[in-house]
Amino acid sequence: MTHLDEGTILALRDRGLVDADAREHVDECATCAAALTAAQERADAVAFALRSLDGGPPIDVDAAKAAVRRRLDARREERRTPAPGLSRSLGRAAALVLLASGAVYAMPNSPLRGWLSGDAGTDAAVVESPPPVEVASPEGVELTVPAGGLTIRLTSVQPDQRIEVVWVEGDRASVVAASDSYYAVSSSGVGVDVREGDVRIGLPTGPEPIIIEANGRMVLSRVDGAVRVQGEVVSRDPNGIVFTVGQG
Amino acid sequence: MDFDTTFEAHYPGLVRYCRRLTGDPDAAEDVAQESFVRLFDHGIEGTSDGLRAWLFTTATHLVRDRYRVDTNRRRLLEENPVEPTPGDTPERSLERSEDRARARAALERLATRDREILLMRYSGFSYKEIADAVGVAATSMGTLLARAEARFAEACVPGERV
Repeated sequence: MTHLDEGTILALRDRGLVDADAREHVDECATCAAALTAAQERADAVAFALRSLDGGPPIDVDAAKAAVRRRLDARREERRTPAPGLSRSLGRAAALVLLASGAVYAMPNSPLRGWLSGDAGTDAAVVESPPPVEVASPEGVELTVPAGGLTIRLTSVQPDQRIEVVWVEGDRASVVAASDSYYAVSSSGVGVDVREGDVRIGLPTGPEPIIIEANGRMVLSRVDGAVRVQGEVVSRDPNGIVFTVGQG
Repeated sequence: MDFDTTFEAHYPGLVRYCRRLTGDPDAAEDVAQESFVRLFDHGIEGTSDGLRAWLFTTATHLVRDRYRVDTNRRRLLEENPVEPTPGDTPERSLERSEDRARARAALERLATRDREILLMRYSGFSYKEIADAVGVAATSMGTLLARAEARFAEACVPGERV
């Protein structure tokens, strides 16, 4: 008789994804039933051990609320008062720095690879490598949407500039703007300092959360499958949405 | 859900999770607050469970970015020694301190992803929610969790041999 592996035993214990055959098997197999009991006992012991970490100063919810409100106000205030003529050059600079980081990462024997993988003089068994950084090309960028979601940050967007979002099959997202736009890609997001002309964004129809920001303001979100546009919608159909950021 | 309701429902649990993940109460509060700032700043909406998963996922990524280099974590632990709990006898305080140090050391021995998986599971998240947060397939979660639990228990739970 083939017994269930440890992963399936735990999935049974935790009501995870297991097929009906595994449930039937554990009802009939004393070895696997004992393994399931042992797994439950281990869960109790692990939970007990983890609770030992819960000491520390009391959590002051009211003070934290006030701190979060202050941070939110400060962030919104920063957006309301950009330095004239500075935001565009800063956007380009930020995009360039990120892009340059990606380019350095791509070089063989790059010190950035060591730093990103956490083995720069440290114990590599403790720190795992982050997802690889993808380097954008001057013509646009395409990447796989991370399971945790994707944020696309557009800067230097003009109020009447059209942003065209197209729903696509598969798991690859893409952003294409005018030819002299600047792109930067990290493990969880894309930054684009856009030039004049339409911005075309292809987004997979999957469940992953998606956020598009323009000039620091969220203009589109997809959370739990619900798409919300906070720009001025030009057209909308099952294939996608065209909108502008408007005057904000 | 409004600001107050969302905050009161999820902030304490998120701070506890971040404390377990970082071992640093100050950093835990900072990461938890930054997660809430992003939630409200981006106008994220959803069910209470959906918002909770979003907050924990965001906090997990913030912690991962903050402690990308192992030496940062080691230094933090040295700067944040275990403090005695008020009201404990010296013996109980010592015992509690040893339990906590053992659990912390066992967590530190895990790979980053294994630590996140273990702590999210013991914060009550489903395999699917954890898989979405750490970027793995939900179908492999049982195997990954089994490995993380076994390594943690072996290092931390008396009498546990895997």
